[in-house]
Amino acid sequence: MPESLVVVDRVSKSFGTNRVLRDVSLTVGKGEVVTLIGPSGCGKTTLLRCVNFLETYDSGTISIDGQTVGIRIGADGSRKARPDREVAAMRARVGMVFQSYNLFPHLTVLDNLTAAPVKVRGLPLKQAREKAMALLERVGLVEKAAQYPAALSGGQQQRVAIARTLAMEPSLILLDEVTSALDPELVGEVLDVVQSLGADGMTMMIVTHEMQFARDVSSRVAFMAAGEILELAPPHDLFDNPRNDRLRAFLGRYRAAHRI
Amino acid sequence: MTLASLRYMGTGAGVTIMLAVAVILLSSVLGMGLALVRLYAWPPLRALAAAYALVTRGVPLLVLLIGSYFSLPYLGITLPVYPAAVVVMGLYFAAYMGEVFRGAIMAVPRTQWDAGRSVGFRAIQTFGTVILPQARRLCVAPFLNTALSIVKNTSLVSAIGGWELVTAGREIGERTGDLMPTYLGVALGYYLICFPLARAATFVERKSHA
Repeated sequence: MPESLVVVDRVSKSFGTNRVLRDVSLTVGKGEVVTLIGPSGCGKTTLLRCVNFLETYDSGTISIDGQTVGIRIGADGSRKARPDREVAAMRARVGMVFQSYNLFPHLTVLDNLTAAPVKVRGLPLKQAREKAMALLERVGLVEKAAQYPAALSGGQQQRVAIARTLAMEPSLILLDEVTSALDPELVGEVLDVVQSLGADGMTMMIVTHEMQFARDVSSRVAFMAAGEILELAPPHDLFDNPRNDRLRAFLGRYRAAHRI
Repeated sequence: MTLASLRYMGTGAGVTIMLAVAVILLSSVLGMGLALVRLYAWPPLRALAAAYALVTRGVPLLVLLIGSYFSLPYLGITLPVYPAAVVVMGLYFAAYMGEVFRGAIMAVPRTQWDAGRSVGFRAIQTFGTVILPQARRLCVAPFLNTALSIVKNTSLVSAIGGWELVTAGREIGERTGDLMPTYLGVALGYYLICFPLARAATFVERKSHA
């Protein structure tokens, strides 16, 4: 087991009376790729958003590199919100890629990649541009540097979004259903990029509905239902030898729906 | 109409333009403040700003102008007519500008906040780098519409004794008796001031839909 990077410890969260996370615990080691699967509304996206504090959580703790996310725990166990500055500094080290890409539409592709390194890290513009071009090269979009996001296909926008995240040199990347908004023929190009990140040893937490992808890319897969992690295992165990009944039913439904 | 009359009206149009520019500037600054308060301030302040917008937009400008200009002296405040007019109109149109800016800021998708914060921007950086530039594009057309409204409503300043395009026209009309051509001239004057603004609004609207 490698050194742990993310530790989720008995985290719960409710939206009103709806308990979306129930005492969830999960550890992600450095260089590990942990994928969250499960039916819609099971809390997997919420858990991912809690990890970089885009969503608050009610109890338990999440820590990254030993630092609690979004809150500070006092000696007496009291929870105190961290100031915006500290939360932002934490997020600068944690990348996130969204289902709907969420590029900055008023900035060119290149400026999307340089905005945060320049404004948050204080990187000189020239250096930020060089790095951005290298990243665009990596995702195969150098020729789109001067374009605005609206001129790109969904798959291209999502690759830019991944490059934007990499520009901050994160130690962890969260991917939230990054292919769900894409036309089927564009899914592959995005998954290839994610897979190459995994091969390079990037630590990632991935929420996905693509089971084959989850099987290929993950170190471990967590199956969530109704706000709980019901099974957590390496992909070949979880997919070929599911122990939990709900997981078996979930996989059965998935296979029936995707038989061609 | 004689050349002298035309020149006289031109001077009136100049005053109208200066009044309009002053009111647009003042109402924009105050309006931006109102919008920010309504969106992000401490809730009681938000409610206060909302109430201000509601009340102000529910009262005719003419009533506010006459009411404040002629009653303020009783409170010991005497302002010359132009500063009084600019302040009252600025406060009045701040309510409209506030709605323009607030609407534009709210029209930027919430996911842009997520995106800005996820790359490590602080809230204020997200607002300045991500939200505001997008809101600015969205508000150009409604902003120009409000500016048009301001230009035309400066005519009410004549009701409290201010001299501008309408007053100039009225004087010429009374002197020469040519009421119809004179007021047509006044109308044309407003149109010539507003036309470029209206064109700009249409242009921006077309561009933002492209």
